[in-house]
Amino acid sequence: MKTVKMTTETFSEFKVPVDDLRPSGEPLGVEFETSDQLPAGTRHLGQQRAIDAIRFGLQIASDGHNVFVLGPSGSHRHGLAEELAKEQAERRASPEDWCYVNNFSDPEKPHTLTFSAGRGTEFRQDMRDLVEELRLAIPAAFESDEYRNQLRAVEATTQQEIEKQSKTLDEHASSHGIRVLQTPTGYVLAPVRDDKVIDEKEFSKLPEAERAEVQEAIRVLSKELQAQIEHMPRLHKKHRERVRNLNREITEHVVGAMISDLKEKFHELPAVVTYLDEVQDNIVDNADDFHESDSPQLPFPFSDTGQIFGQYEVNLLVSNEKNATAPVVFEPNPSYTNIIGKVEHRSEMGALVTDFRMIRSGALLTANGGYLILDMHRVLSRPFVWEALKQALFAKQVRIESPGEIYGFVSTTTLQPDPIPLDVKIILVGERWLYYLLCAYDSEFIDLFKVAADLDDDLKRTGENVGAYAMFVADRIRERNLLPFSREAVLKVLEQRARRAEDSERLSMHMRSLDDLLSQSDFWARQRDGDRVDASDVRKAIDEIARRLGRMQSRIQEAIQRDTLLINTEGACVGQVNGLSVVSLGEFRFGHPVRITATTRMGSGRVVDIEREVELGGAIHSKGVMILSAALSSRYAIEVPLSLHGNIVFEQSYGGVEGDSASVAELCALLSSLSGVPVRQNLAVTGSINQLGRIQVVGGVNEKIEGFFNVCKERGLDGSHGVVIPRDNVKHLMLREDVVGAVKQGLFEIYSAHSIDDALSILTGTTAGARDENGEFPMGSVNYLVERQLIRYAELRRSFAENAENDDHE
Amino acid sequence: MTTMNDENVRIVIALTERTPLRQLWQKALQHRHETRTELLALFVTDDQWHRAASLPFTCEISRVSGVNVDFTRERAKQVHEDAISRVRRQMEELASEANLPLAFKVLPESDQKRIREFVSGSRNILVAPTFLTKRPLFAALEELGCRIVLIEAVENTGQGN
Repeated sequence: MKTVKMTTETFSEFKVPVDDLRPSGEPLGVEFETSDQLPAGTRHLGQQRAIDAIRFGLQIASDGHNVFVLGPSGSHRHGLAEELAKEQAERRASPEDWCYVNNFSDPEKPHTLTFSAGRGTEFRQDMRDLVEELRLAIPAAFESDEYRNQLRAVEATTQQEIEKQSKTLDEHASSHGIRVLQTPTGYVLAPVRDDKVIDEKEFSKLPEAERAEVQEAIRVLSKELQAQIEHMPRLHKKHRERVRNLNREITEHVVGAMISDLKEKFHELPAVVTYLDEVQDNIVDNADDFHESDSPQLPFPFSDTGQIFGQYEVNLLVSNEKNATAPVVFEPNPSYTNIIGKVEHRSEMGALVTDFRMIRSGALLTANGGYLILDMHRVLSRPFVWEALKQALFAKQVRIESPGEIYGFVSTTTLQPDPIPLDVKIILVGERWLYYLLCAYDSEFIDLFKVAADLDDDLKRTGENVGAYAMFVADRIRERNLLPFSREAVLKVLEQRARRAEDSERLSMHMRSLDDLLSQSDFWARQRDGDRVDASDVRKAIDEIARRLGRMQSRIQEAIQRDTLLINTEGACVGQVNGLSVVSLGEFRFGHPVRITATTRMGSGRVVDIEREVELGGAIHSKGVMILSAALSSRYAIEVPLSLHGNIVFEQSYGGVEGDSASVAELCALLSSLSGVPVRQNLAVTGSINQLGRIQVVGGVNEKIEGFFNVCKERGLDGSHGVVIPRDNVKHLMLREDVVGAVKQGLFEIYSAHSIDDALSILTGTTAGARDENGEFPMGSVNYLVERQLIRYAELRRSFAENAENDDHE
Repeated sequence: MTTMNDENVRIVIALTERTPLRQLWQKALQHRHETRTELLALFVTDDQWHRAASLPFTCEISRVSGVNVDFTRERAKQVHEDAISRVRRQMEELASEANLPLAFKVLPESDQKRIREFVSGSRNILVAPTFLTKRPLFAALEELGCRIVLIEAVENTGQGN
């Protein structure tokens, strides 16, 4: 590759003034020495649009007007949502309490009861008291002398009936000389003589007629006895009915008075009164259970006395007793059960059993009548949650079901509780891309979340806002009990916020990074035993963040210094330009130079993007290359066919290349190759280009400049080094102080270019050349040489084509 | 089995397969407090089962279903032994609950000589159910001069208490 001697022209018209490299912005407008002297500022600075949207969403009562707060992680989006929800909640009354109670006719379908806030707790306690009373009163009633006497009378009646039957048979048997003997399992009829059962020997001595008479009597008595036995169950059943009726009377007497008191207390709630009637009926119907505690425990609900009384308990699912206002709930782990609720099971003798007391509420019910805040990313990453949430919102009710049951994964017996009406505002918090993806791919999403609250990423750096931002910073310092920041430290923080916004005219509203900077600056101030945070502490915090995350940056820097990555920072080369690349590692970004080369020859008018050919180039990068091809063909030799074959490549790039910010560098390399005019290697360039040759803004301009500066500084700055950036990017400059210092000393330069001709002039050290009134470029200019070369290629191509045609004819 | 000491005063609990055991036991304990005595459960067997079973035509009619089956000697023996073991087990449980020693003897009603040996003595007490007074044995015991305590009790239906 041919190199040529540099010109000494300085192109001062393209130099960016030093003051524009790190603008200090508007004056603070407030006088203070340390941040603790600043008054309280606006709570959520710069987010008025989002605040208005959230308030609108929370206030409007129409269906589907739930809120989606769009903003990046760390933007204090959860805090903002919670604060505004609490503000609205203050204006609303505490919602109702919800209880589940036993459904006595179908225990698998528990019923709901609702109470005004706090009365659910009261009812639960009343029922507990009732149960406690019943536990004592009912057994006591059954142990009373009155009951015993009545029971004894019933038993005596039955016994008399049985004895009457038995006696009749005994007498009948005796009259025939037969005795009824009782074995453990039945009866034996045997002949008796002299009050003694006779044996075979004695029987054989009886006259034959008597023997026959005895046998006939036994046969007849056996039939009578069998008839009696068949009648016995009826007697027993009758006895049980008598005892049951007695038990009912006793129980009704005990329970009736207690239930009546409760019915009177909750008389304004018909559902509760109905439930209490059911309780009374059930207790009376099952009176026997209350005094039979010796029965063995069975693996079913309510198999022992505790469980029997348990069926009259109240499962207070949602209590708003302690809430003076509507609830505001943030569920950090929005799993299905945490959102919808669940039906728990307990193991009894190897079987899983459950009842209405094991129904648990989820966040939807806890927040019912108020506001529920959820992180959308977590909602989507938990199975079944999003569908269940939408279903609940559409149906306006919560049905507590196990997802396993819904999808048929488990066959354990479970419950189908009554659904509970839902009246809740959901505030989803998530990244913007999530919102847009949901809008695009989930047609139901926008029906339910009609209000988008888009948090602003940054704030205009106006005089008014700068002062407000300083007060905002002071508030956060106070909230975190940090050391007061000096005026200079606050200014330094504001500069960093502009740097974070990648715009000298804006201030970043990213709260987490602000809080981190404040906390870490405080740390370094305390490390030096300072009683306030100075600008040097803020500077130290910024540098340490970069140092902690700068391992890869150092390795790339080292590779360049060791010529492992080839970057020239002196001399000039044809077809070779220093481009600039940015690497993002989480929230840390850094720039470094990358060599871009171009080669050209006569061809069919195609510029090959080698990155694209090997599938290392992204779509935007490929688009950039196509645009520069279009710019090339529209600027030069318009009247002849473009007969160029060019190749463009990012040298030593083995990963993916994305973005169009290198398209100016690529076009300059291509034009250098065509014209044969060398490009200065002590300069790097960044910028994208349009078809008309206009240079457009790029991202990461500060990091890119600093990346090239680092390389040049290590090799020794001599005043020739610099970076060419798009003119529209000047407003984004918030360069490091050492870069600005080097520029001030004349050791480094920042150039801004508006068009490809500007960039070519700066990079080649010579005028690019503009067409005159005849449409001709000035002889010797870069553009002249490019056009001449393209015309030459076209002629060569035509000549080549004619020769080929002649050869074909011959 | 606890051994008996002939020099001690004895409470004899007269048992058959149909006596209400707990009532008899509790009554016996009441008297034990009055005098420090030894307790003897005397199970008086009746060979009526064997006599009944020796007849070729006797049947056992089920109390539950009313179905009748032949009442054989084997069945009579089984009924007899089951009754003894059941009564013995229940008496031992009662004694264990009260943490008291209890002797258990089984004698046929026909062995009146040995029965008298256990019961006789003016200081001894016989605790028996009233229905036992209908048995021929009781007339013999009345002559012994021991103190007799009767419990008003209904004869069980062969299942014990």
